[in-house]
Amino acid sequence: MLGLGMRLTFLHLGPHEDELAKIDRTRQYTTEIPVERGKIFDQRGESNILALDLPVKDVCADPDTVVSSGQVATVATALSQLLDLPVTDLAAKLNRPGRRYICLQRSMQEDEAERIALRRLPGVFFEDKTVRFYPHHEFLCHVLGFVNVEGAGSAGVEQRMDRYLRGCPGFMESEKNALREELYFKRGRYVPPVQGANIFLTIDQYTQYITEKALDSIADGHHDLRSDGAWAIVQNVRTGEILAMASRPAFDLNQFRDASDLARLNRALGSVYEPGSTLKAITFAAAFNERLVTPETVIDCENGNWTHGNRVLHDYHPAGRLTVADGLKKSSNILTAKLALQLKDNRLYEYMTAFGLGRKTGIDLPGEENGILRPQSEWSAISASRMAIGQGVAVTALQMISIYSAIANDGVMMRPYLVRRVVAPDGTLLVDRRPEEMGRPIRPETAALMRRLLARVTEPDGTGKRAAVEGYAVAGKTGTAQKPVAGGYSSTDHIASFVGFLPADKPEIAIVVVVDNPQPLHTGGVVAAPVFQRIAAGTAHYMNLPGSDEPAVAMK
Amino acid sequence: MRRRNRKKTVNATVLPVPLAGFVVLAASLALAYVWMVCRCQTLGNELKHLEGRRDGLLKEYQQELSKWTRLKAPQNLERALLRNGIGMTWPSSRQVVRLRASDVEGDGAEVVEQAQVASIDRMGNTR
Repeated sequence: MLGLGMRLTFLHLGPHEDELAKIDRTRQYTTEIPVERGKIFDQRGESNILALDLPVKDVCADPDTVVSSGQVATVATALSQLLDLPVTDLAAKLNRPGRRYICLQRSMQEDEAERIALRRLPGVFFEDKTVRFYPHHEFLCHVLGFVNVEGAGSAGVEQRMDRYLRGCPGFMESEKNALREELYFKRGRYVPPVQGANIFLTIDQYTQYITEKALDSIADGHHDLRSDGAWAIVQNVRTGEILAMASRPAFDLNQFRDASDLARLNRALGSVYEPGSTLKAITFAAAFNERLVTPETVIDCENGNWTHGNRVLHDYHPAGRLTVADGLKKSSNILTAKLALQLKDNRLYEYMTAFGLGRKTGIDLPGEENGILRPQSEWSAISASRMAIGQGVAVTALQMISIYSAIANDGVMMRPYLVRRVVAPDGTLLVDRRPEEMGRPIRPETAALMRRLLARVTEPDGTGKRAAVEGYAVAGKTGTAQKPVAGGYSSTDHIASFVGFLPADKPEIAIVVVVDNPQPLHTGGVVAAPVFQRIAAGTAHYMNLPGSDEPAVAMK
Repeated sequence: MRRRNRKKTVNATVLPVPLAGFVVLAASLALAYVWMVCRCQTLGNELKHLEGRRDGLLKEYQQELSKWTRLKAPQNLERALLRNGIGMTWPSSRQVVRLRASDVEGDGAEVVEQAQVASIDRMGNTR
């Protein structure tokens, strides 16, 4: 009785403070409230999601329970069908008595996990988690980038816009009951999470699709054609907005760990190459802008062989005397080199820098290369004649498209950009990107003249005839450059490219296509121009661009 | 007149009214406190349940968003068209009639009708 009385007294008075503190410590807990990373949309907005956080399940198993149930073979067979994994591997993993945990498949979608759950397999269970999910897998992979296991953006838009996308996790102090359930009424401090902001790109999902499909079909019509890689960009010439940017090889964003560094490289801005004839546009534009020549000026093209500075320069299409206009159409190396000599080194260098060679465009993506433009002080006697035809200078595809966009846009260079808006979850506009002018390397009249001359390149007798699009005048230039190797240039490896814009008379979009080391065909006119044509035709129709030979029909 | 039964007389102390009132008040307050604590716990549980439901619905919403965006992706639409044997091509420039806003008078209904006829004529011409 005495003991009971004392116990009753103690209970009545309450446990000792130390005891109380110990009990409280077991009940109390603090937790971080996970935050949802912002979504990424294309320019059409909410209806076209390119990246989002998705709840998924890891499929796990308790091998000890599976072995105890005596159904190792049954469970392995069932899981093999559902997970598409070899049954022998699964059986070996499950047949481990004493082991309590193995993960069989990570990040499975909920509806797929549901099918496994319905089988009620002994010892098989699921763990919930949230992952960054890219619904279109390989689509737009180099632009979107990915998020690493720590949840930080590690490439592409995910990296560049990480500070907006990641948000801020919340915080909570509370207590649990004996069942480890939270006692809501004991909840102490609660700091709600701040969700990540949503990113709206300038990319148009359908234009991107057209572009990627065209890159994937490089071998169409030439079944034995192969290449080391290919990349393409579509840009709005008026604003500088990038409408599509694709690079091959590509990789699945949801399996980015399996991709090689080469596959992860966004070649459109991270790969520099000697542009070859596509760079001639700068020399011609500079010569016209300086009023050194007119399209009708005749220049001797030395029947395709010209020695300058003890080095011989050849033309692919030998000619005697050509007008400057025809020299561009026929892509004459000799005529272009002679224009460069008329310009002199300093003016050619000025125009090259004015068109943005040798420095980044400043696009809002990581990994952009500067390209290579040696300072004028390092030029040799023949440098100008070689750089004028796109040798001894290296560019990115983004720089090339910026040059042609400037010609298309009356000589005004616009800074390329990919992120149009950043909007907080409450609708606050955090970033609203506006077109930004980078410079005016040439006069509007020169640009108009260049548009007319470049449009001749895609005529039936031009080098870029395969880039022609029915109903539209296309202006552009082919490029075939030998790849530099130690001590000179490779005779077998080339970079084939085509860059241009349409409609030539009132340009709206510019497109660049580059193919790395195409074999056995290697010229830009044969390899890159057809890809350009597919992108241009699809995009022009999709964007409903007015045709060049199609006057509006008035009906009254 | 009835006789008084002395044996039934209760000889007890009567609780003073103020004290009785205090006891009743204290008991009422204690009951109210217990009721409020219970109510808080019930509401807490309800909130917890609703929080769980909200999280579940959010997950479901994300899943549906993901499914929807995959379904309407251009590559998926093209696959679906091919699966059903529907070949889609862009119209050629000769099959398209463009109208300027300045060409349209009134509500434009007449022009739209004419445009359709013109479009059919043009398509006929291409054959």
